[in-house]
Amino acid sequence: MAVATPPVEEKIQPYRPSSPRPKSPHVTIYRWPITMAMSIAHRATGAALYAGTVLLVIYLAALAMGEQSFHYVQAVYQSLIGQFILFLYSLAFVYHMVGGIRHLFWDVRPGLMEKHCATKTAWATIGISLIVTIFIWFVACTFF
Amino acid sequence: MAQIRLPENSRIQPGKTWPKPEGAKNLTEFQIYRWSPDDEENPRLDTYYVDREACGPMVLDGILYIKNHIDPSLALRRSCREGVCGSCAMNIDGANTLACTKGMDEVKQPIKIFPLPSMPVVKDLVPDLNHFYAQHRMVEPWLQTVSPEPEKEWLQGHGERQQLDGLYECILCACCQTSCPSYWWNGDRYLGPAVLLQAYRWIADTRDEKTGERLDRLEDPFRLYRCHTILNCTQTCPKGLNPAKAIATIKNLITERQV
Repeated sequence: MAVATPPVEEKIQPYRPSSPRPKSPHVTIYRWPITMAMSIAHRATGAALYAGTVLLVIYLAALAMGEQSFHYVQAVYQSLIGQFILFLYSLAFVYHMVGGIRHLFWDVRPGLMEKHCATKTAWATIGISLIVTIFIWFVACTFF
Repeated sequence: MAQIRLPENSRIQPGKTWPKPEGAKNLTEFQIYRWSPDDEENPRLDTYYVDREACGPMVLDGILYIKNHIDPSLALRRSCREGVCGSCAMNIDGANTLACTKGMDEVKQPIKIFPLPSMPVVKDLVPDLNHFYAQHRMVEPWLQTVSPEPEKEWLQGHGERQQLDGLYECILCACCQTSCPSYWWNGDRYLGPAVLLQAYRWIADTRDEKTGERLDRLEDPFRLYRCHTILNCTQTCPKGLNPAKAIATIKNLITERQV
């Protein structure tokens, strides 16, 4: 009588595609929600503040070095391009601060991360930053 | 380290345009990511036209029309067709969502469809989710207790049960997980929004007695703290859940136990 052969232990071969798997596209195909753009801008302004601080240091150093160097730096900063860069610096400063306050609110009340609320506060942050920066420049240009 | 540019073999080439269905009046254009392991080609974007009179209103209906009538080689996962299984998660019109609950008229035309972002692609719209499942396993998503087992079930009050609302509904579709830029850049070590929401689901469960160990496991610069409140997870969740809030709550619990 033939004895049934015991089942051969089948080894499952791992699947090997002929070409390695591609990575699906991400940042280039994703439609950026305003909250994502805000997050990136918060980082970018944070980095920009380092560069802005250098501007401040140059200003103070020139002041310490004497009248001539101070007038030179003053002239550069008062030129159209200088004023434009200083405006961007102040905008980055205010934006980063307002965004930081938004983060503080989130830390205390994580419920504020609800998507409609977060979208509204994102736009509010942009609006408030622009208004505050323009106000600062308005005051500066009017009274100084 | 974050790799922003796609590797050489993943860059998308222009694809082919499939013929329009004959005699159809109301057409919707689809552009769909295609990649097959059976040849050496790079991924491509193919164009299809769907006869709206001959199929249902959802994006999934459109894709199945293409599979049934135009190109049977198109691969995708789908099962329940009513937003409870999470199989048909994909990137539609730039946002991750379920093809079965997204209407064709809700999104911009032509309808662009990609697999879930920043994942290895098995074929076409089918991503490899093994790493995601392994991460899910890591947070030990089951009830853990030390006190003696009750005779029947572990009881829970009405209010205690309510603390799980907004957490237990997660279907693990990986929409939020793969929408997160932090997960794109550090997915090997950052657990990601879906897994952290699941971790919090067991931390918030009043019957679970291993909260301390669970927090210990998460307290890590990469596993938990790669969350930078970008909020793509919360914006994209097709079930309307809020992973960002769950993550922030875990961070708060870790801070609270230190003071």
